[in-house]
Amino acid sequence: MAALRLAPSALAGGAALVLVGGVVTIAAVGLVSAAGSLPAVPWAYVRGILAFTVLQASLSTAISLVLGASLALALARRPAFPGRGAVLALLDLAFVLPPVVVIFGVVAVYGNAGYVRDISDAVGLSTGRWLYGLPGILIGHAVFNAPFCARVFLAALEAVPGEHFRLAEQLGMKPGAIFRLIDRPLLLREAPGAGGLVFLLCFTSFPIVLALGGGPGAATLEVAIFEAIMSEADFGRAAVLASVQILCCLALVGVAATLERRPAEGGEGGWRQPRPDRAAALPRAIDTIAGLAGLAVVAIPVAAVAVSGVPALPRLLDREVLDAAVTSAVIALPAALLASVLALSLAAFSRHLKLNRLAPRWALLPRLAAFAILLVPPIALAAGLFVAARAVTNPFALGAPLIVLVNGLIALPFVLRRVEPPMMLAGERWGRLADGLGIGGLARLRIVDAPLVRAPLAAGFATALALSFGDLGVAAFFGSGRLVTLPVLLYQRLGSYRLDEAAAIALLIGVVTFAAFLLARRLGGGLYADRL
Amino acid sequence: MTQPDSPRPHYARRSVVTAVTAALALGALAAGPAAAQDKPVLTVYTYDGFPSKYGPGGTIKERFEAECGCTLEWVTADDGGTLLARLKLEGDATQADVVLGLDTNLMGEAEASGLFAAHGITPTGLTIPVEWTSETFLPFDWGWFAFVYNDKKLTNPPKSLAELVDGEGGPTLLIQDPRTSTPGLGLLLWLQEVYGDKSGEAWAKLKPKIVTVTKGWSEAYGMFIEGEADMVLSYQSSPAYHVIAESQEGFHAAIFPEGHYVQIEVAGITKASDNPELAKKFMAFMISDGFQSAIPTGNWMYPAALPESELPPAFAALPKPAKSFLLDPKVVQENRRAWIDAWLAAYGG
Repeated sequence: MAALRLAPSALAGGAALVLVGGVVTIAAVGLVSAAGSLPAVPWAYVRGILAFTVLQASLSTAISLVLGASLALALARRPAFPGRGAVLALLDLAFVLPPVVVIFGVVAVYGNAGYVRDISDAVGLSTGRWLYGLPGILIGHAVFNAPFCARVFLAALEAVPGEHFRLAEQLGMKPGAIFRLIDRPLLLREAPGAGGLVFLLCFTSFPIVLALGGGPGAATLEVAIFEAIMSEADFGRAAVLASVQILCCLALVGVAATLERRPAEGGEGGWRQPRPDRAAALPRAIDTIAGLAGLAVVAIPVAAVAVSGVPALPRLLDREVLDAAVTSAVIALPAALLASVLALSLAAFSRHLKLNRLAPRWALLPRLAAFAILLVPPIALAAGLFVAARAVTNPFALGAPLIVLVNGLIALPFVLRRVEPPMMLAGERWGRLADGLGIGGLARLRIVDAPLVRAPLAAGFATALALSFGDLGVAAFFGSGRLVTLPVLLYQRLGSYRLDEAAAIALLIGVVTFAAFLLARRLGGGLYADRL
Repeated sequence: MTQPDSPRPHYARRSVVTAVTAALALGALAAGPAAAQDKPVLTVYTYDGFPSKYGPGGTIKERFEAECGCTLEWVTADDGGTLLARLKLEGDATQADVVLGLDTNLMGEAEASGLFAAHGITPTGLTIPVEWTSETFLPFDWGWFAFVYNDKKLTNPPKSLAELVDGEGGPTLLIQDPRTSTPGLGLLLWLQEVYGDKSGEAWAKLKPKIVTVTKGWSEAYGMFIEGEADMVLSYQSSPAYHVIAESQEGFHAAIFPEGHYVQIEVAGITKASDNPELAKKFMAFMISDGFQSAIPTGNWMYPAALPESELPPAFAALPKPAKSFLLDPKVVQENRRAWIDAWLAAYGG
């Protein structure tokens, strides 16, 4: 009886696990089988890419941390000023924008036909061509990672009890001392976690580096995998590069895990105390610089998307754009649905294993499956599946379903992170009661779990939707000229220097993503869960 | 037993059902077959510049469709290198009947892939600078790789390859990636021919002058027109475009006494073609006047089967290289990977 009642979650979870594991295995086998003999790997080239990847990821992380911390301090010193809400919204917006949209913003401002060039030409200064390469990559990464860091730091700074500042004021502490004694420890506490995440994101960065890198001199491993497959059809090299990337990421995750420190639960003060350093000269000067840097790196590129997008909107009625919008929706909706169903099944399975004391040790398995997906480069996953599909049928007939599958899998860890804790909570609180009442299966999901899980699930769905809607790599791979999504179209228009036409598309993607993000937040979800 | 019926779960469930239905319906829509075609379709893979607004593709499609009773569909990739990679990726599942836009440098590798079928045509009246023996590929045009500049922007162009390579702070350059682009590969082979073992050093000297490395020819040429660099890797015949289409005399190809590498662009029929007869018809059409006459003022190259007398006068006025290089396809096939990897190491490092 008990076994029968418990079957659905185990069945669904087992199926999800088999699907996830199966797809990853098929992709790996596909890639390796297509490789044939052991590939000749130009290690000098791999070393070069690795060195560049580490360089740009380190610099990107440093810039994001410093700029993020400066912005957070500036905002923390000024708890109320007109437009503060707008600044916070802008920071939120920036870090959920898909990379393709960020690319557009950066090119529109700093590119060769961009605002900066227009201004410098008008003034008679020749800036030359400087964006493509390391500078473009760093700016592109800072656009969304600096706001992410700023939000993390600001949350920590705002949690400082008012008592601390009252005490600081009574002791007559100078701004320098306040920074050293109150702010710095907090920033240092948060930096490893936020920095580790940013480093990982920049290390595996794909569209930004592809579009703003400007050639083979600037490539990440992810880009090199893409090149190996798309330019040379060299699966062996792709498999080797993917392995190198997976190993590097594993090492990074290990290092980040040892560095991360959980904040002690401190009592939050009952009142807000204005910071005594809000009006001092030095902090003011630093804050002004931070504000200007934030304006240049984050606000103007993001605003450029809206500013150049709106006038171009009438041209959105272009048949090509409408087709691409439909294609994007057709891919993103089922992908988000797939990710949600898989996450729900895996979470239910994990709970089943843990709470019913069947195999608590194995309860980690679903989470590990999701983690494994995070490590696999999407392009390698796509390529492996492509090869496997090729053996059976025409892979292009399977283009759309394969894009949905890969995007759904890529989004799975993000949804699982949201869904698993409330599922476990629901089980811990009401599991026995539900068992006693004989509520099982879908009824249990509806009656017992839904109240706790509905909001995080919706938020997860929105996150998955935004991810799939902004995807460039997977769609570019499988679509190969026939299935054109909005990000692919945007990338094409950017490539042919039709900035005005790209503007409206960027705006459209940005609006949809932001709407999904707002929905996610409205429906309740942690802020940081939106990125990784 | 009646259950209390709160509207919420029902609403939630219905919306999930709606979402699933909508998603599946939309998915089916996307995956569904394209509208039925009553005419046979010939799918030709080519590089993006060929069927573009300014390329010869439109004219050729029109002329071929007038006599074949079929629909010609162009499917594009960035450039010749990407075309070959794409075909290898797709393997036997490819939709392509014909691949147009490889060159002799890629021919060896393309042939070895086993994805191409013999064309079965004995070409006559070819006007290319070499004797044609391939039974798999047929040439459709040819030219010399050259760096093109605008004399209003670059008043003192390099007079030799050595000057281009060695010149300190010399003109800025736009080139293409040898992995994806046939001109990019051409430049690699050109330097290989001229510099041999020392080509790595030559690349190291060129590197600071190179503004960017693009995936395909069109992107680089577009950037050159936008004024992004002083010179672009293109063809000796490219200035003819500016003379004929734009009445601009200021564009020139720098002719180097060391010699220029020759490109012969080719097309071949895929083994996987559903329409081998139609594909063969296209190949025959390709070396006939209907196709060839669209080449000089469409692709801005020398046609592969059209007497010189039929070329526009602007072509005759172009200065020609005194010396030409063209490596045997086999030699390129054997060394391409190693040379490209050496280039990557020199360029990426």
